[in-house]
Amino acid sequence: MPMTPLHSILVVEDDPDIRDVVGDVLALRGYRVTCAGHGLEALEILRATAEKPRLILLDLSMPVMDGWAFLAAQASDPSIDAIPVVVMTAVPTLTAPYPGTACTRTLRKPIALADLIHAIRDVCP
Amino acid sequence: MTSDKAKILIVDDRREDRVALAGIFANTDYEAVTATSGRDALWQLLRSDFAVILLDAHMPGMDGFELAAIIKQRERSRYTPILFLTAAGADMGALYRAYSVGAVDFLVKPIDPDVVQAKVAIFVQLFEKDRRIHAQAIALQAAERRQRDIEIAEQRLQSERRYRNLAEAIPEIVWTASPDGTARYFNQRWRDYTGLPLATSIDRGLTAALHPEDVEPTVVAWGGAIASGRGCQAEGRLRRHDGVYRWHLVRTAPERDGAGQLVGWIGTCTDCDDLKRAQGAAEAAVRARDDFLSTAAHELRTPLMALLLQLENLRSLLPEELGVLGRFDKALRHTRRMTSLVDHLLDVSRIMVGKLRLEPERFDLVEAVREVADRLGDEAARAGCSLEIAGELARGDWDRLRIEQVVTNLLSNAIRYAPGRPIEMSVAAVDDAVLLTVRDHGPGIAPADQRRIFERFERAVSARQLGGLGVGLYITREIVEAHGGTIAVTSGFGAGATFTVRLPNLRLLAVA
Repeated sequence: MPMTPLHSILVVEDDPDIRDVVGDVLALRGYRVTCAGHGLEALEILRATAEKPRLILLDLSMPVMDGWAFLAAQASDPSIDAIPVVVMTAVPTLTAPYPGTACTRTLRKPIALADLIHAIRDVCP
Repeated sequence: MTSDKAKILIVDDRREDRVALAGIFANTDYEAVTATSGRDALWQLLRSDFAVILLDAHMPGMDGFELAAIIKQRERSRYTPILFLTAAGADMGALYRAYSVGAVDFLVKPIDPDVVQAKVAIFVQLFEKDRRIHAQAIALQAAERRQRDIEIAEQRLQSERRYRNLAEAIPEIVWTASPDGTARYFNQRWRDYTGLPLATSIDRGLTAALHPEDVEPTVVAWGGAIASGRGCQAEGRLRRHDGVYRWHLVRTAPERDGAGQLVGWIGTCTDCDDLKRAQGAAEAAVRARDDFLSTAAHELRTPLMALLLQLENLRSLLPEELGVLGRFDKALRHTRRMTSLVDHLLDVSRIMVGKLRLEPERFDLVEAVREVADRLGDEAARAGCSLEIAGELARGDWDRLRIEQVVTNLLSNAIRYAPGRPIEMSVAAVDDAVLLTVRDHGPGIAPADQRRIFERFERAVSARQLGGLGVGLYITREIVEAHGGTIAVTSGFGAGATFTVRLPNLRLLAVA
């Protein structure tokens, strides 16, 4: 188990339990984790920090600003449009990629631990 | 009967004889009509009834005997008495002949006026008597008919009164209308309910109390009934005297006479407001239950996912030497089972609102079956079931996740219901479809249960014997049917069950 910080990951998820456990899983594996409860909060965090995360884990259905609106806002902001996004969704028909966005992968809910780790290692080795 | 005077007919070819005879009857109160020949006589007989005919036996052309025979053949003149006039010294043969063709008497020329008058008077009297009897009979008949008409009218009135009384007695709104739909009558119940004066009701019909929104559908239904001559049924709100609208079931039935002719309409309005409200409440309750089911399944899913992820996370942290991994795996299995139950609930609620969507992709069904068998391998082994898969490559375009769900459901059912026995699965291409069969050697399914098991919340055995929600085969059938396929089961009781799924695929590629 690596104990030196690896990359930083932004988890955008409205359910606190899911956010907490995903964050916990990633932190345990040496990632630096930041969390946001919805798209708008995620944008604020991204724009406020100089050191951008290597990856964004994004839920689609959220209050205030949902995942789709976030993806659109991200695509129109050159300072953050290059950060890869992995979308977490329970809807099987919504498989990535979504053209015109930074989303390259989807994780199907309920998320299995192995799939989560595999997806993250895949995007930011 | 054209004239009141009785008529006698004198038939003689000789003018002086005719004049002499007619002269005899000049002062009587009956009318003498003369004819110059047989033909002329027949013509007169067509026009009038005669009390008696005085017939000259010897005439040129048609003689008296011939004429008498014809007169006797005719219905109208059959009973008209004939007096033959014969010359003096006529032979007895002629007399017999006269009687044989229907003569009642004969007179010998030259004629004695008194004798003729006397004889004719008798026949005229008889004729008049007949006529009176006939007239009386007709008068009697007319009187009887009048009496009958009165009785019929009385009966009709009585039946109408009874019908009205009946209509007034029943606690339902009853009305009648003429064949063209114009209101004729409303019972007291209508008047009590609506509080409307009868004149208004007759004038405006049902629309006098119908809710404005219900006027059009009712009028349409009513118009259709009038046009077709068949009854109709509609629902509408009727305004009560206090302004409250209550739902009524409006029924009309055609009223026909003995000949089948439409003579009017009979209508009823039954208050179904309470029923309607109860129905609405029941529907709302079902909707609320379905909404609750859907919400509950969605809400349960999220914490379950967090729990599952956390358990997997924890397990990855546990050192093997601690000796708790087996117990951890059990906890994981329980959580997965719970997740699968919640997914079932979610599927059922999706199906109920018609939200089951497919995402077809091309894949090999045999490979998918093997994958599911691998996934359920441990479960099958624990139950003592050996799994056998037969089949060649069978590629097609289906929703892979959903088809795997079908295979999973069928296979886990077989493991659950037929433990300790082998399970055979096969995939075969047939024409433009693929057949998937799952065969177990368990107790089988009774014929009565074979159709029922594909319904929602049904199963062949009681819920206490085996767990689960009883929705697996329902979901399976819905997925198969969404693919345009079919699912069937064949089973002999005690001889296992075979489930056959037929999945159509037009772009099927079957390669050996």
